[in-house]
Order: sequence, then structure tokens, then C-alpha cells
Amino acid sequence: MADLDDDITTGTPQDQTNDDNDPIDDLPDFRFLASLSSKSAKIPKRGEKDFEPHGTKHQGGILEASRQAMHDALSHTRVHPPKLYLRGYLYGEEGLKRDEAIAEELRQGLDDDHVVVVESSRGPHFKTMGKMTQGHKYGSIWLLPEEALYLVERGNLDLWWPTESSFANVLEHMQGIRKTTETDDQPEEDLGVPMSLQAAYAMLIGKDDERGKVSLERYTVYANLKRTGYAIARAPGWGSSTVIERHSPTIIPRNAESASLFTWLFGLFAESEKERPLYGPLVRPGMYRSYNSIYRQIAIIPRHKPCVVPTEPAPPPEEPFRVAYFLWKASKLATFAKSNPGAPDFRVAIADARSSSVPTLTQMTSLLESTPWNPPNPDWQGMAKSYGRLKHGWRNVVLAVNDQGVISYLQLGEAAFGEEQMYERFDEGNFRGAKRGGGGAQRGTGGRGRGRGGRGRGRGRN
Amino acid sequence: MADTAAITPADHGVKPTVSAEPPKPRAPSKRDQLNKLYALPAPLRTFPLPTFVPHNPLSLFHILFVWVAQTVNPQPAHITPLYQGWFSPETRSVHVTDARSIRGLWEQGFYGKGSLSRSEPQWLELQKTRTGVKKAAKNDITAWEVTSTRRAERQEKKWERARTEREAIEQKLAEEAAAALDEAAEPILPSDLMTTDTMTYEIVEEVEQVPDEPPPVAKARYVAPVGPLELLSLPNSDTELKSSTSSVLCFSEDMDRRFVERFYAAPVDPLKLLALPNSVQDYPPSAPNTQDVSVSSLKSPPRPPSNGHAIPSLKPRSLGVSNKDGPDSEDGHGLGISAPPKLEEVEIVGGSDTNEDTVDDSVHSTHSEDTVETHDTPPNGSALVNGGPSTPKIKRRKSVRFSPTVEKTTFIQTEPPSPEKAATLKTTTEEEPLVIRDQEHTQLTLEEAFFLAYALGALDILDPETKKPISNQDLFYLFRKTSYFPPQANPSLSPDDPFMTNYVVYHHFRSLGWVLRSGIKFSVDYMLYVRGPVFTHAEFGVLILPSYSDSYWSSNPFLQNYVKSKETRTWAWMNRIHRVITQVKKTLVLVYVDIPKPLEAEEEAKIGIDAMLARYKVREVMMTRFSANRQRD
Repeated sequence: MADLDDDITTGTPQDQTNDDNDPIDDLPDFRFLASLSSKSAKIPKRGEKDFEPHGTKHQGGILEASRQAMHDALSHTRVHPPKLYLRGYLYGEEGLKRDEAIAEELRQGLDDDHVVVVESSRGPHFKTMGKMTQGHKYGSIWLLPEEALYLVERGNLDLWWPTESSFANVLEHMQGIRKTTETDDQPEEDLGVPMSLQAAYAMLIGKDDERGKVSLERYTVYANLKRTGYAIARAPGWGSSTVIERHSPTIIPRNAESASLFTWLFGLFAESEKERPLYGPLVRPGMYRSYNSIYRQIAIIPRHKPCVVPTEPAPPPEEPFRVAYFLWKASKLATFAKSNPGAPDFRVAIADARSSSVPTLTQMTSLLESTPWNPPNPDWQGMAKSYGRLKHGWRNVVLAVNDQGVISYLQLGEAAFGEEQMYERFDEGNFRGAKRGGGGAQRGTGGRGRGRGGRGRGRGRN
Repeated sequence: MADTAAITPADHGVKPTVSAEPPKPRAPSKRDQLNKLYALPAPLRTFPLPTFVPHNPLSLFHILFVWVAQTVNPQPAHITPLYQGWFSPETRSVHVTDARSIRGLWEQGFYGKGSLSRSEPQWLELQKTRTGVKKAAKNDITAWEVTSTRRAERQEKKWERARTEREAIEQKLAEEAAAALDEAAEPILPSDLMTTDTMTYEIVEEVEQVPDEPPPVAKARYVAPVGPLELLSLPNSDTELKSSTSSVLCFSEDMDRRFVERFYAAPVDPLKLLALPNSVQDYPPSAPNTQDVSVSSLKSPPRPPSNGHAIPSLKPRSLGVSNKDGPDSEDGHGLGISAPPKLEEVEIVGGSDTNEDTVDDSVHSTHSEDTVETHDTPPNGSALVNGGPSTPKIKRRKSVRFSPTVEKTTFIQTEPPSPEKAATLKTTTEEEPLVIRDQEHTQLTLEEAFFLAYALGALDILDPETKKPISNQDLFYLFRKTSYFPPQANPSLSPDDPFMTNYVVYHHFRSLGWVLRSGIKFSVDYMLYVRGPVFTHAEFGVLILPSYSDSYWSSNPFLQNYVKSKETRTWAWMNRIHRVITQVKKTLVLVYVDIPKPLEAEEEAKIGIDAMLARYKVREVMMTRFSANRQRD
């Protein structure tokens, strides 16, 4: 009850182990690598942190075990079984151009940026990656630059410079005409030239508006999220030239009647608002029966009212504050289909920390309005949930700020404090606010984000 | 819904003295008290009709009666007379000096900050409690005290945890040492733990002969220091460290001396000199606290690590017990070493052969220090926790021998002396009770003051020169002009001057029922409280970002440059603030204030303040961290 605003709780290091720290700050406990077999897909958990050596053999043993586990993990021999060998050819702007080398009917349905063709679509990665050409019996799988580069980095893809005959090979592979053993027996035919990792980077990293390239900021974020386990795909508004169609208003607001209630309230306010002297006071002297009537008199600054279709739409989002990728949680991977991925869980915009600054209001509104209406959960009613509703917001987007490869992810939400009239509780006796009348009971709240009471909130403060 | 009387604590306003009014007969809960004290969310009263109870028709008459009474004689919402404040151009704030306004503004919406307090103006209360004029009842402690007690407790918990951790480590070390011994004894059968006594002796000898394996005892002395005293008693230089660790015995002795020298220095300032005992007879028949230290060092130099280190140990209770062989050491005082020792013990120590001069020194200095610096420490060991030098509490029967007048000036002009001393003083100057003049006033920021004056109409702001209230119109321009920093002689009023930008945000949230307090301690502009800082923690930190989306601001290159300089914020800046806010478990709200294009002065005057404020737009954006790892599943 004291000067609570003074009561900053900075937890001790022990408190915040794996809790408040940025996860990327922590080093994993490498001992857990030892128990990690190639079969189990479980990611090792983080261990406890020790902050200084205290001379026990126990601690020394742990350290030694960790080191050993790390060495073991690093010295693990990686095997590429021939079955899983995957070759790809780059048809970029340099060298053989895709649109010149390959007949149009064989590349239908591709984006401009699909520049790498692969010989097969085996393996788990193609569940979320790659694009199949359409409209021809000889289909082929094409990758975007970030997908190709990610696979090259992982060692899953062998990227080659193509020759004139490469694409025919690819088609044969795809049709299964050629048997893999056959190539071994035959003298080496002219497949092309293998490409080094450096060359792959040089060919695939560029500016976002360059054809067949991806910027390094976006690639780092892509790779990071991919490695974290998300399914990730380019958002429709990827290229600067693309104009995103505004989200259609077919999404019905979940609480249409609330708007009328709101306007009714404000209608009351407008009525009661009679002649006001130019220089206040806003609260006219007199007798008042409720704080509602008082607070309605001082509401003079326009409040933001979130709408499904904004009344004054912001201009279309501009680089870099536009959604670049869609994310689906790892738990959806099992049922994920490239052709029909469903609504993404998150939308990510990517900004470079050095060349961009905090978005201005226009940039922010454009970015938020390019995402669909996502109101707080209507089930969560009442004053007790107002924090949750406020924090969830009505639209949200993830902004990845990439500083030379170090990524800081921020979630931005369109908040509307005007939707939460805190003064309504003043009129409830001693405003303890357990029950609430229908006044602002229009909104629910989101269970998303960290709620109160999670993560040791208020630890040490009471 | 309570009846009218309960809702309108009219007595709040008129009470001349400051008091927290604890109802005597049946103490209500803390929550109830707070609810009662802070019943009004704003310095305005409302008069709701009584509730209609369907099964009690009489309630209808009650309603009618109240309605008629209020219609005939309407009660004003504003508290009369209005609260008063003085504009202070030097500090660019509004000062509230009368107690009624100070209390009223704090209790009815948490406005202002005490000039001598961190937040709530409670300097006077604090002084009264400190000087013993007002006996602090148990349920009447100030927020300040609650905070400090809590901090002390928290700190102690941390020390305690550090201690347990260290003990665990020590135990582990001991176990490992024992295991090492066992292994050395039976290298072939290491699992066999059964060894006879004679065997163990042999082992010890064997181990000692092995030169390259130091006994675990020596190794364990390098335990990380965890207690405050241990930290303080750390050697200051490498050489010191080396010399002190050269042998176990030297180490602890040396540390004693340094410890003593450090904390019981000769008295130097006038107060301390004055407070020195006047004669040798003044010494109470008790020993200074350092004796415990020397006793411990004398008695147990060769003890294993935990004890060799325990001189400035954290848990004095254990130390006292271990040294005095008695559980009756009533060391309620944090360090434990401050327990009133017995005379025999003094003699024992004084007569001891090794440390005689050390002890003598300590006797002197301890007493001189003690008289001045004794704190009124709660018996939960917070003296230790506060990290100050240990101040032993020695009950002295003698009263201090200087004139009361001297004491009195001391009280008022400087820090108040300890309650111990105040108590002593009180016995001598019982007849004339100490009167402490309230020297604190409340400061209102310009935004707070303007909101109270213009929006609520609950405050009169007086001009310090003319002593007349300033009209809202004048205030508006005065505050806008004053808000520039560095101050400008004749600033041109622009729609984005600091006052306007801040006031729009302040008014926006206040008009929604939030309580706003300054967010400077959290690196933001405002903190948002639901009911007020005494009820809940702030959940949101508000960061104001001016925005210039009106086409006027991009109409010429000069303006474009200006806007760019005002709007551009680096990500490093943003992330710093974000990190601070998340560290204190709050949520960052970016509040964009859309600045309208400027108006001519005549136009401004014509449309009035509310229309001018209505031209601003406020947009909030919630900024939270997206944890890619946690959100994945």
C-alpha cells in the first residue's frame, strides 16, 4: 500500500533465470544434448544458471558434462543418405534466367521470386515450403530464395548452376523416369556446376524488390522463425509493388449491438452537452447524481473507436512497416497444408533497426489496418478483465526489429482505452466493482498474451 | 449503494489537521479504511438517490424524501471553498500549501506530490513518528514505513536465501571432502563407507603428507561473501588479500581489527563529540558489541570455513549461540552481536591476552558511536538489512546533559535524532511539547493543475504577485508558455508545445477514469493506475509520441524537417524504454498525439479551449514483447 510506484522489483538473478531474460540471451544447458537422440524431436530444456564457480566437484562435474555434451553434439557425424540427397538449380537473374530457359507452360503458377527448382519434393520441409507449377502434366517444385538458402544452410539442399539440360533432368526426376542408381553407372553428364554456400548467399541475398532475391534482414528473421519451429510463408503484400486489398468487411463484428450501445451512451453525452463556456470549467457547478454524468462532461478529446472497416482508412502500408510473413504455430504443422494454410496465427513485419525508426502514427495505423480485425475474446467480460482486453487490442501484428542479425520481436496491438470507461465503477458503492451493470459490458478480453498472475507477477511485492 | 452521508465525507474538506482517522472501537480492515479514506475518485461529490428495495416499500419514501430535499436544496458537487494553489513560475508548477487542499487533492484523485516526500505528502507524519510526538499505532503506520519495512524484509529474505545456498555449497564441499578421504583410504573399494576410527586417523595423516592435494578446509575458505558485513569486510587490495590469507589464524585476527576500525572510528563531528559519555562511570556495565567478535575469533580460530568466515556473518543469532554457549542471547537487534552481554563476559574478554588493545579501542569508539547513531530498529533485524554500520543498542540509564533548547533547534533544522534520544529528551522536557511546523507543500504539475482548474473546476490557482485567482483562459496561455524548457522569453505558442501534448494525454486518460502519476521513475511519461497508487500497482506505462499527420505539416520543406526531427525515434531508444518497463512488469502503451495544424490567435480565442483540445487525436498502441519461443506452441 505504500508508494507502490517506487517499488520496483528487480528480481535477483536467481529469480529471473529463464523467466524474464530474453530467451536468446540464455545459453542452453548442453548436457541435455546428450540425451537427445536423432529420433526424439524434443527440444532440450534449459538448465539452472550458476553465476560463479564455487569449487565443488559437483559443479565442476556438471560443467565438464556440459562441455562433453557440446563436443559430442558438434562432432556428431552427419550423414546424407543418398535417398535424401536433393539437388536444386538456381535460375536467377545471373546466368540462366528462368523465364528464358523454361517454357511458359512449364512454369505456370509461379511467382517471380521462385528461382530454385528442385529434383524431388521428399522430406518434411516440403510440407511448408516450395510451390508446384500448375497446368501441365510435367510439374516441378520451385523454391523462394529464402527457402532455398535455408535448406542450403541446413545441408538439405545441394544448389547447382544449371545448364541447358538441367531442367529436363529435373522433370525426369519428378516423373520418376530416371532411377537414381542409373546416374552412378553412367559417365557424368553435363548437369552444371555445384554452387558454394558463399555463391548461394551472393545469388539469393539482395534487395527485397530485386527479382529472385531476399534481403538479409528478412532472411535472418525467416531463418530464425523457421528454426524456432513455425510454419512460415510470405504474406501477400511482400513486394513493394503489390497493393494489398483491404480486408473485406465480410468478417462480421462479433458484437454488433455493442456499437449501438456505445453510440447511445454518447448520444446521452451529446444531449447533456449544452452550452459550455469557452474557458471551462467543463464540470458545471451544480448537483450531480453520478460520476458518470460528471465524467461524460469532461470527455472532449476524441477517442479512438476500433472498427472493422476504418472510417478514415490509412494509406496502404509502406516499407518496411508492412506484413512480410505469415506465421503458423508449430502445433498446427500436423494438419498444415500449403495450398490451404488457413488464417495465420501471427503476421510479421520486418524492419531494420539501423535504417528505420519507430513508426510514425501513419505508418503504425497503416500497418495495423492491413491486418484483420481481431477483437478481444467476447467471453471475457467485466471490469476484472479490462486489463486483458486492453492488452489484447483489436488488431495486432508482430514487428521484428533486426539489428544486424539480432532480432527483437515486438507485438503491437491496436488498443482502445476509450472502450474501457474506468469511471463507470465510481458509481458502484465505494467502487469496489465486483458486479457491473450493462454499461460497458460489451467487450470480452483475450486470453492471449501474458495475463496477470502468470509468471510470478507481483513477486516480492506483497 | 450507501446512503448520502457515506458517499459524501464532507468533513474531509474542512478538517484543519492531518490525520488518517483510524476509527477506534472496532478496527475495520485495512481495505475498508482505504476505501473510506479514498472514497471520492475526484474532488467532486455526487448525491445518488437511495436504492429502491422492492420488499421494503418504505425505501420508496426514503427516495422521495431525499429527492425532494435535494431538489429544494441542491447540494453542489464542488467542494467549497475550492482548493487553492499558487502558481510558481520558478519551479514551473503549482504549489498547494494549506493542509486542507493538500489532503483533499491527494485523497480525492491522487493529485500532486509532496515536496519532501516521494509521493504522498507525509513529511509531517513521518517527523512526528520519528520524534515520538505521535505514538505510531500498529495500524497507523505510514506508507513510507510500510515500504521501508517491506524492503527490509525482502532484503533479509535475499540474504537468507544466499546464506542457504552457501550452506548447501559448503555441505557439498564437506561431503566431497569426506568422499575424498574415503577414496584415499580405500582406493580399491571406494563404495565401502564403513571405516573405523583408527582408520580415519591414519587417513588424515596420509592426506596431510600428500602435498599436492590441499585439505578441503583451506580450499573452502574462498567462499563467496554474501552478507553485507562480509562484503564490507572484504580486503581492499590484492596484497591485503594475499597477506590475510597466508594463514588461517592471521586471517581472522586481522579481520577483527579491520572490522573494528572500520565501524567504530573515533568520533569526529560535533554531535558525536557532544554525545560522548562524560566520565568513565557513564559506561554501563555492559560490553561493546565487538567483544563478541573478538571472542569468536579468539575461541575458534582453527574452525572450519564457515566459522572462520562467520565474524561478520549474516546470521548473528547462530554466532551468538555458538560463542556464548547459551540460547538466551536475546539479540533482537539485527546483528545479534549487539545483545546486551553480561559482565562476566566482558571481563573474560578484557582479560584475554591476545587482543587487549583492540578491545580497548572498540570499547571507546563503540560507545561514542552508539550514543548518536542508535536507530530505532524493529526487532526483525532490519539494521542489518539496511546495510548501515551495526549500531548496538545499549540501554543507557543516564540522560544526556545538554540544554533542551539546543536539542530543539537540532530537531527542527537538521535530521531528527534517534527516537532513543527523543525519548530521553521527552523525559526532560515533558512540559513543553514539541511542535513541528509543517514545512511541506504539494507540487502539482502544470497538467494536473490545469485539469483540476479547467476540467473539474475544483482548484483556484492564485497568482503569487497579485494574490488573485488566475482565469482559465490566462492559465492556458501561461502554462503553455511556461512549459518550454529552457524557458523562453516570448515563446510562440505552437500546437505541439510540451504543455499541450502532455495535457491532451493527461486529460484523455483522466477523463476515462484513470489515475495518472508521473512515469519518470519508469522511463515513461505517465503511469496509469486504476484507482490510485495505494490500491493497485500501475499496469500501464504511457509513452507520448507526437505525430504530425495533418497535411499542413508536410506542406513545406522547413516544416517537413521540423516534423522529422520531432517524430524520429531510434529503435535503441525505444527498446531501452521497453526493456525497463517490462523489467518492472508493466505494459508499455505508445500514445500517439496527432497534432493539428496551428490556428491564429483570434481563432483560438474564438473556439475556446475545449474545441482546441478536440482537434487533437489520441491513438494508443500496445507494445509487448513477442517471445517467439513461448508463442510457438
